[in-house]
Amino acid sequence: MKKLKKLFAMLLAAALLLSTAACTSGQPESKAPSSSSKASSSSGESSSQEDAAEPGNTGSGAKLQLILPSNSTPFPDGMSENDNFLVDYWREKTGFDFDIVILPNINSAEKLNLMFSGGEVYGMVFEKDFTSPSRFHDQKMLQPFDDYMEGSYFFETFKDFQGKGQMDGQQYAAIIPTDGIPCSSSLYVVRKDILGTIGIKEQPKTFDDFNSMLYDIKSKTEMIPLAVYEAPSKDSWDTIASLFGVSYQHNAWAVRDGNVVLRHTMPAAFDYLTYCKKLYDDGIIPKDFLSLTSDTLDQLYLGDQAATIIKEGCWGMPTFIPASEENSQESRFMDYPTGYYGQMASGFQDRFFSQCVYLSDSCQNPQDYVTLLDFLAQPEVVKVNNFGLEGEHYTEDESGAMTLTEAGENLQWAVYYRNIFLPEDWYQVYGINANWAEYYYPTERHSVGTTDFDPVEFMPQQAADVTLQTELKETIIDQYYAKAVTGEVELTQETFDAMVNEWLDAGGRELQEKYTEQYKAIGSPDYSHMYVSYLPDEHPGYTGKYLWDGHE
Amino acid sequence: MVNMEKKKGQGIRRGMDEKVFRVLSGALILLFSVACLLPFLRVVSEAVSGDTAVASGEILILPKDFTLKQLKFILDTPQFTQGMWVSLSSTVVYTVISIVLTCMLAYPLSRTDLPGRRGLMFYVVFTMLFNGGMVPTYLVVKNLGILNTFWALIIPLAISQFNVIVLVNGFLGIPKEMEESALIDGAGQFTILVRIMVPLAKPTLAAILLFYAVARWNGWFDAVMYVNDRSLFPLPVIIKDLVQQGLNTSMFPSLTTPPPTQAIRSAAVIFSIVPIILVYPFLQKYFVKGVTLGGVKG
Repeated sequence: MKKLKKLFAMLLAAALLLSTAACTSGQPESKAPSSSSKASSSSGESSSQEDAAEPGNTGSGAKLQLILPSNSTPFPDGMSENDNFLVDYWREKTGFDFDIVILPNINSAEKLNLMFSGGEVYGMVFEKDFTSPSRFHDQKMLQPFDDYMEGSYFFETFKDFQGKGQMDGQQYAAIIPTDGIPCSSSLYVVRKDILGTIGIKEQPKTFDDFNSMLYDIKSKTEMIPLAVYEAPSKDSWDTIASLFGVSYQHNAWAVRDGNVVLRHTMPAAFDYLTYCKKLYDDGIIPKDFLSLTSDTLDQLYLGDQAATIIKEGCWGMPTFIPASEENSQESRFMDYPTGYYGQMASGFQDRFFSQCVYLSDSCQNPQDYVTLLDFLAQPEVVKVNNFGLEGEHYTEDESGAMTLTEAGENLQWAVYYRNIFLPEDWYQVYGINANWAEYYYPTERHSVGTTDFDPVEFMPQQAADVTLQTELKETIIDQYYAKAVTGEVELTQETFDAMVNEWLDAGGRELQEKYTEQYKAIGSPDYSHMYVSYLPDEHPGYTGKYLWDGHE
Repeated sequence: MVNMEKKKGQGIRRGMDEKVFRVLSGALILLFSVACLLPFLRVVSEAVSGDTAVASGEILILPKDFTLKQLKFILDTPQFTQGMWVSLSSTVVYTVISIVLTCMLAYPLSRTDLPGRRGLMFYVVFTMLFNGGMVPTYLVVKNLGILNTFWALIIPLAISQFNVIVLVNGFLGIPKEMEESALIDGAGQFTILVRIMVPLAKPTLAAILLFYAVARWNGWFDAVMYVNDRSLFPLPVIIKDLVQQGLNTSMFPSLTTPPPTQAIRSAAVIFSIVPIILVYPFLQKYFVKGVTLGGVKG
C-alpha cells in the first residue's frame, strides 16, 4: 500500500512538472516599447514601459504595440500573431518591431477596458466599436493625432471620413473606411419549388403581388407563409420595414425636413405596425414569433414548415443554402417588391466605416504610429496584407485578375491584419477567394440607389448616447412594437403617439436635438452619393445562381 | 380487540401512505432526472447526426443520419486539441496546488485553540462575500508578473474560501482525541496534518477536489482576461467562441469561413464534458458524504 502511495505521489509530481513545462513555453517576450518623439518620463508609465528596451528612432527598431480586433480564425501550427510572414514584412519594410495583441472574440470590450485600466496599453488600438474612443477619451486615456496629421498619407487619403473620429475638436480616432461593400441588407429567401406548385412562377413585383403571394401560400399549403422572429422593431423584420421606408437594421436615424429623427417613431412606422398586426392576425407570420430564434427559424424553413424566411444577412448562407439543397429544396433570394407607398423599397445601408484607430495616452512615440498607419495605407502594402506575396500566395495576369496559389488559399489567419482595405479588395478576398459572392451580392441589390441615408453614421459616436439609445429602444420601442402586433396593447394612432412621446420624454428628444444640431453644424451634407454600386458587372466569376431569375 | 383492529387498520393506512409517497416521490425524481437528461441526450444526438437533419430541427432524442464527422472535425482541429491539453494540464496543476493550499489554511483554522482564529475566519468569510473587483484583481495578476502566462490560470483563483470553510468543518469533525494521542506519541503539527487529518478527511477532500477541478475545467473568464496568447486558451474559451460564432447571425465582417453548424457546436460541447464525466463516477461515492461532513459541523 505504501509503495502504491509513493508511486502515485511520484506520478502526480511528474505530471505536475510536465504540465508546467509544457504550458509555460507559451510565455510571451517581455514588452519593449520605445520612444522617439515624446518625452519618456511620465508618472503614469506602466510597468511594461519601465521594462522598455533601448529607445529606437522612427523606423529603426522602435517596438510598436498594436491591439487588433478579434476573430475566431486560428493561426496554423508554428505561427502566431507576432510571428508570421506579414509581420516580418512589416518589420522589414518599416524597421519597427511589433508587439501585437489580438483581442479575444468573447468579452473583448471588458478585456480592452482592463488592459487600459491596468496600464497595459502603450500603443495603438484598432477597434470595430466606434463608441470605444469616446469611452476612453472620457477617462483621459487617449491622446489626439492632431500634431502628427500634417503630411500624413493616411489622413490625406481618408480625410473625408475623419469627422467621425473628432472629439472636443480634436482627432482622437483615425477612421478607416469600410472593409466591405458598403451596401447590404436583409434577404427574403423563398421556396421557389413550393411557389411553383401553387402557380406562382414570377417573383412579386409590387406590394400587392407580395401580399397575394403570402395569402396564396396560406390558403393553398400547410406552410407558414413568412417566418420571422423577435420583436418587429428588430433586424430580422427589416425586409418588411423596408416596404414602409422605415428600414432600421443597425442604423436607426434618418433626415426629415432637415432634422434628424428616429425611424421607429416616424409616421410610416405606424403603417408598418398596422401591416405587421394584420399579418399576425391572419396567420401569415408564426403566432409564436416572439419566442423564436434564428436557429428555430432555420429549422422551420429547412424542415418544410415555412415557405419564406427573412435572413438578416448573408453570413449564414454558405451553410444554410447547401443544407436546403440537400433537403431537395429550391431556395432562391427574392427581390424586394415596391413598397407600400409605391416607392422603391430599400434595405438598410451597411456602415461605411470598418474600424477606428486610437492612441493610448501612454504612447511615447505617436509619430511612429502615424508613420505605420501611412505605411499600412499604401496600396502595395494593402495588397500584401490582403492577398499575400505575389508569386507565393497569388499570381496576377495582365488584366489584373488574381489567382490564389495553394499557399494563398490558406491565408484565412491573415484576417487579423486586413485592417485597411477597400470594396474591390473585399470582393477579391471574400467574394472570390472565400466564395461569398453568390451569397453576398444578392444582399446588396436592395440598397444601391437609395437616398435615405443615416446621418448619425457619419458623426462621432458618444458611448453615453449609444447606451441611452439602446436602453430606450429596449424598454419603450421593442416592448410597444411586440405588444402592438400581438394585440397585448391596442394598436391605435393614440397609443402609437403615446409611445413616441414616452420615448421623447425619456431622453429621445435630447438625442434627436443633439444629432440635428451636429448635422446642421457640419452643413447638412447629403451622403446619398456615397451609396454607390459594387454590383458585379465586372466580375464574371459571379453567376447569380441563387437569385430567383438568375444573374441579369 | 376493536382497539387492536383499529390500530392494525391505522398501521395498514400508514403503510399505504408511505407506499403512495414513495411512488409519487420516485415518479417525481424520475421526471426530474429525465428533464435533466433530455437536453444532454439531445446534444449527444446532434453531435452524431447529419448537419442537415440538425439544421432542419429533426433531432429530438435519437440521432438521425448517424455520422462521426463532427467529432472527427473537432479532433482534427489543432485549436481544440491544444485547448484540451491546456485545460487538462491547468486542471491537474490547479487542483493539486489548490488542495495543498486549502489544507494548509484549513488545518490551522480548524484548531480551536489557534490565537486570533475568529479574526482569521472573519477575514476568510469577508473576502468570500466581498472582493476587490475586476480591475484590482487584474492589477494584482499583472504585478505578480504572471499576466499572459500559464500561471494566470492557476494562482489568482488558487484558494476558494468556500472550500476552505468546508474543509475546516471537515477537520473539526475528526475527534480531538486522535490529535491528542498523536501529540503524546511525539508527532508535530505537520505530521498530524499529513498522517492523520488528511487521510481521515478523505471524503471532504474528494468533494473539494471535484469542486476545484470542475471550476478550473469550466472556467473561461479569467483566461480571456489574463491571457493574450491564444495557445494558452483553455477549451471552454474555444468552445464559447465557437458557440458564439454560431449564434452570431448578423454581420460579422471579418469572418472568412461560414459559422459552425449546430452539429459542430454540439460535438464541441460533448468533447468538453467527456473528461469530467469520466472522472465523476470515481469520486461520486465521496461526494455527498464529504459535503455533508463538511457542512454540518460548526
